[in-house]
Amino acid sequence: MIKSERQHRLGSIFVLLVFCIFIFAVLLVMLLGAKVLRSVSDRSENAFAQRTCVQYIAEKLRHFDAQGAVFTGSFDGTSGSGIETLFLSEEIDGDTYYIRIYCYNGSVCELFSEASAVVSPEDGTAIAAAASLDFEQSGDLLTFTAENSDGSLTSMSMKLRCAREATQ
Amino acid sequence: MKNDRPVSRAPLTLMALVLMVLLFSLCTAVCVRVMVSAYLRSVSDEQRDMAALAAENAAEVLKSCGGDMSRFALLAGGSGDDAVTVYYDESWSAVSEGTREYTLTVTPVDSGEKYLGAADISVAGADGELFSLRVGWQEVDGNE
Repeated sequence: MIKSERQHRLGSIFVLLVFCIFIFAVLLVMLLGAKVLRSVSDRSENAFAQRTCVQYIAEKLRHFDAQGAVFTGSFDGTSGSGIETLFLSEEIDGDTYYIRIYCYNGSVCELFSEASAVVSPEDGTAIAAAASLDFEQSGDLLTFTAENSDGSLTSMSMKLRCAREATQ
Repeated sequence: MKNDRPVSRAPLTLMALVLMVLLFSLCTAVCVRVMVSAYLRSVSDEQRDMAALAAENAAEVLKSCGGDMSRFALLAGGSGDDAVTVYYDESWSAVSEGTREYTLTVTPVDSGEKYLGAADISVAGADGELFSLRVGWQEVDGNE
């Protein structure tokens, strides 16, 4: 009788043990899955952040690449040491408008305004996160480098078909 | 003849558990396979994205140089006279051959058209080619 009871208890313990191992395995697989998912998501987010900013500027440049329409300078339109800004100009009903692309407060911002309008950097719309944005023009080749939030640099060069001097 | 011995349900539960474990193992095998494949895919996609960006950059610089390979090599940080090779490290910065992780090769090709220069740009990693494109430019006004 006692032997049978002991066998019964041992059987229960064994079942419990198998159940614990099963739960442990489930948790392990779930953790592994979460880790892989986070890694894939981080990688995708980094790739997005790295490419979006420069690709966005490249597309803007392609769109506005006309005689004298693309130039770089300080935010206020001078060659002074303000916020480095890319200017894309277009004429609408005889008036000149500027699209300014610059980095402000950890974001690449875009601001559309009349050329003569007095604007400030905080008026722009944040496009993508970036620590800094530099423009360098050498002849007809415009190179822009964005420092991403993680400190990595993404650079892109564009040949301007209708280039003019780097600063006004 | 009444049997007073307690009836153990452990074998039945154990059998159910074993079945569950078997089913779970099967699902785990499939899931792990999918997870590994997703991870490898994300790695290869990231490499391909950056390779496309590097190739696009090289194409723009080459067009700006009007096909002058020595000037291109100087600007892109590469080496070679006829075909230029640029080496990149893990973070896609141009490096010397010793620490290379990726290789970008620019090979001039005959476009078959007069005044039209062309070159093949190929970016390769350790497992083979990641991205390639053909770039063309007009050879006029002294760019010939």
